[in-house]
Amino acid sequence: MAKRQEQEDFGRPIKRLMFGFVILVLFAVFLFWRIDGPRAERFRAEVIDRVVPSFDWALVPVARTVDIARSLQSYERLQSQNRDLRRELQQMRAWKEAALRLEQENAKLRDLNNVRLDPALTVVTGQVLADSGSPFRQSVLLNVGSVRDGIMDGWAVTDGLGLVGRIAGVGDNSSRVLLLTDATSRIPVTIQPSGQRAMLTGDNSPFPVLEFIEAPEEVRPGDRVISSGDGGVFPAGLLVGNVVQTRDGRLRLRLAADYVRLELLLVLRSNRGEVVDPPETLIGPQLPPELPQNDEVADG
Amino acid sequence: MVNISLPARLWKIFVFLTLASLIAFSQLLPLSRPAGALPGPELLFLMAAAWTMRRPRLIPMWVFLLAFFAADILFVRPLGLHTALALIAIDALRWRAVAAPRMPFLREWLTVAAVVATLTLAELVILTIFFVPQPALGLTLIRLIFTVLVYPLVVLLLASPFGLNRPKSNDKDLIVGRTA
Repeated sequence: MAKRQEQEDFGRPIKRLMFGFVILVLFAVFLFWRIDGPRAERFRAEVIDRVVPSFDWALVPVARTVDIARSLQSYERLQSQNRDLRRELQQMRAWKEAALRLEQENAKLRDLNNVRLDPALTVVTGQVLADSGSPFRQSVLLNVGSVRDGIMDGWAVTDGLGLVGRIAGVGDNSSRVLLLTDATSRIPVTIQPSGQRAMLTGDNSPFPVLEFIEAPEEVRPGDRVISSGDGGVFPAGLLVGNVVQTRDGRLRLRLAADYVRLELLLVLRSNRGEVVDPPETLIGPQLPPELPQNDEVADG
Repeated sequence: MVNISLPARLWKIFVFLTLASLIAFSQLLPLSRPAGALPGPELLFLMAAAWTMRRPRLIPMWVFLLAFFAADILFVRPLGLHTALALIAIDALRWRAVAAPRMPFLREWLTVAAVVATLTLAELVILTIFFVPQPALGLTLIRLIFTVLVYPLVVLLLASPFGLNRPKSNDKDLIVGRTA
């Protein structure tokens, strides 16, 4: 026993040293993450790409089962829900008629105008594999990645109704979608009837904030908000949601996408739009050819 | 001198790692927690803390290192920071648990609460110094309070099925826990 005690006392300083070393290495890793964020995030995407998709056989069914159990709980309200749904359905039928009429009209006009739709805008459908796992991060993991589907950073993601977020982090077989509600999400948007430009800023609440509006008095609650395409990252014209005003007068956004049920998401393949470079060669009057700049000509 | 056998110890480590992966799995489930929902407690740290307070020398540090670093990667947190602070916190808990193996539960709870609060504060300060974007202070505090309040529950759940109940005064297991 005495011998063992000795051994332990002997071993302790080395253990303490190892412990201190590990802590130092961890802080170094944190520093590396802070300094070279993109590389660290690529490493993270790589690891997640190896680990999480191998659990999709369990993740998705378990989540669906819990969803079913939750919806069973709402059976008590079924009666009133049914009534509301019927009323809504009736309204929707009226809208559908209107939409069909408009679609036909639209098709006719397109035909007359020879409009060619942008063929670059195709979609990839991905299934939501996993959450971020942290209550302070609003992101989900999709089961489509860079190898088979060619997903790239920055592509827009919708759920068919409205914008959900953008791709931030791609692995071979998975990609992370940064939701609009995440505190680091910033999207340039246009507020529809007034045409005001604004920045949609997530703040970890269900209603992201509209910031940097030039003339807020022209914006009314209920206005439609679409992506503006400024900055060239996002395709323009995707529906994002409607403006709401909070009690303290701030303008926020009610998202059109159904954030409660994110199951299948559409990733919009977008390539960069035409870049006019340099712009002055196209716009403005024809300028005379530039004069030679050397002094001899100026003197003579 | 009673020593715990190596297979038994490996078995305990295996149990801990399995529980840790179950926690990670449940948090990764795509159950669409809406933004702004109340944040839950930090279950992984609580479990490690409970284990350390009850059996201070049973699970070696590298197991905690593995579990916390994996959580850092999976949960999109700043890499390494939470792991480092959590390991320091666990180490502090271990010293206290070794020094007073039969402390009353209230004291154990208060010790864990103090360490968790210090951990949260340290993380807050470091993230602020390095200009890392952070969640609202209120949410962090709510998470801290939840974490502290849930500790007795975690101990209760772990106690009987995983042999983490309070060591009796003449329990062989206590000796095992202290010296193994």
